[in-house]
Amino acid sequence: MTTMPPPAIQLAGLAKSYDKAPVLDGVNLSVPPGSVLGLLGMNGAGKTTLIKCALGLIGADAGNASLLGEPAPSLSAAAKARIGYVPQEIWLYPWMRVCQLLDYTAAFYPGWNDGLVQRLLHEWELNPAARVGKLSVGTRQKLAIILALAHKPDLLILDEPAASLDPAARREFLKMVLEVAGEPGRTVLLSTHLTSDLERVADRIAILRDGKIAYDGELDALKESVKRLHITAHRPLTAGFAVPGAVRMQVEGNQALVCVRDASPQLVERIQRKHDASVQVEDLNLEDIFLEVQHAGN
Amino acid sequence: MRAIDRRYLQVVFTYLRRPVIPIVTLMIPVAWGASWLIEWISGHRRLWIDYNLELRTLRSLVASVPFICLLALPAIVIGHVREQLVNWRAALTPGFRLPHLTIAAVTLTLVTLILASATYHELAIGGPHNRNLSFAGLLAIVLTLMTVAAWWSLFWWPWLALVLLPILTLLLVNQRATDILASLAASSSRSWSAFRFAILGVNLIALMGLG
Repeated sequence: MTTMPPPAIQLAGLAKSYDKAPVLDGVNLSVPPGSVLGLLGMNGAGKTTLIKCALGLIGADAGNASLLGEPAPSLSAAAKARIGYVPQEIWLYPWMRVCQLLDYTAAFYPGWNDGLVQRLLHEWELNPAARVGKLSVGTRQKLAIILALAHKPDLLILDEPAASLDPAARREFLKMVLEVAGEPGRTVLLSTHLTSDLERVADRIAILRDGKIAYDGELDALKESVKRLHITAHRPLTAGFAVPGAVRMQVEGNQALVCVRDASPQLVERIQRKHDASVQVEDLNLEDIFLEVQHAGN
Repeated sequence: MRAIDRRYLQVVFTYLRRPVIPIVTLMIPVAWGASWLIEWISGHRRLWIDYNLELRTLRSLVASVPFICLLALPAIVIGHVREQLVNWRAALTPGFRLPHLTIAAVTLTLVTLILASATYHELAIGGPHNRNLSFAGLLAIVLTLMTVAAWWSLFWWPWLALVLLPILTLLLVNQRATDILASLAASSSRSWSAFRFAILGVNLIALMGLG
């Protein structure tokens, strides 16, 4: 009999406030092993706080966080060796050289992959002899990503990792994320504003809004279910016009623009019949869906 | 075992790779060598009879450099360890804290012993009035100074120098204060022995806490 592996990340009722202002308000999230989860949220939504609480870097006011089946605040050395992390604010020892920082970090990880490091240094044109303090923000970010990837972690947590990368490096980075995620059992949590990046690599999406997870599910299922309906009725739509599962609705005369969560052919047929209307179904990309969900909250 | 050795070795390298630490460390033997050389030269009165007094003054000045360096080192070491341990890496890198704490503890112990021994040697050659000099007393004074330096490294408040300087000057020119310090460094009284060991303990705990 085989036992199910524990979720790579499990958050239960996680709450955190700063100066009595709640940032996380009972976050529940379970990330199955082997998935690439994209964490989306507006600026200040609490993505970084969520990641830091999940990693045990800051204490939560309430709730529990566990990584790879172990409580986040008291991870064993074996669990730590399976985690890679790129923080939003990159701080690397400015007085070290690139090669020295790599040697220093490698000493702590038994599974350090020197071949991968050399490949990425070459592909991202990083000079091993360069002083870390003299690197540009983008180059420092590349170095931080190499440091997080080099031990081939089972769980990779990336907080806005591609923000300062140029398009070529971003493409290479996303390729690397896919490579890491492609190996069985590897899990990636990627927090970013760049929804186009997420569409390339993520298979799950979690949207953080008002301190809670507003959506958590598979990206394909999300894109399949959330649609924008352009409704044109033969008569003006009444004030009581409603569509089940509507995330956001704009009504003007005999026309309505409705974003729905569960757009099924049955729903479309029902609207057509009930309101004597023609319904055009528009597919949305992740950015549109994210904005609709945010608008719905507002 | 090899992986463990590599961790410790890399932590030692972090000290050597910070330019300030090798420079300050190197200044200690260089200044001591120079002070011994000046002492040797001042011993040859036939050659240097006219400059003997000046050379002795110069020797005192040069000989004080290693003491200043040794006092600065705990501040630098604690600042360095703190930089490593407040970082997220300390929480998420496997086996990160122990090598840092071990190397820092060994370094601080060595610095304390070298500074106390050097002071003891320096004062012991000063004359018969230093016969009651106690190593434990000196250790207590050294640890107190190191703790002050380490606190300073934690807050890096430059104006503290302006506050500390007059206080230290007042302590050194005040007869009562120097008597207390001399009694602390001497081994004549039992109550002073108990007091100096209490100071040693408090300072050790404070230094460990800072680390």
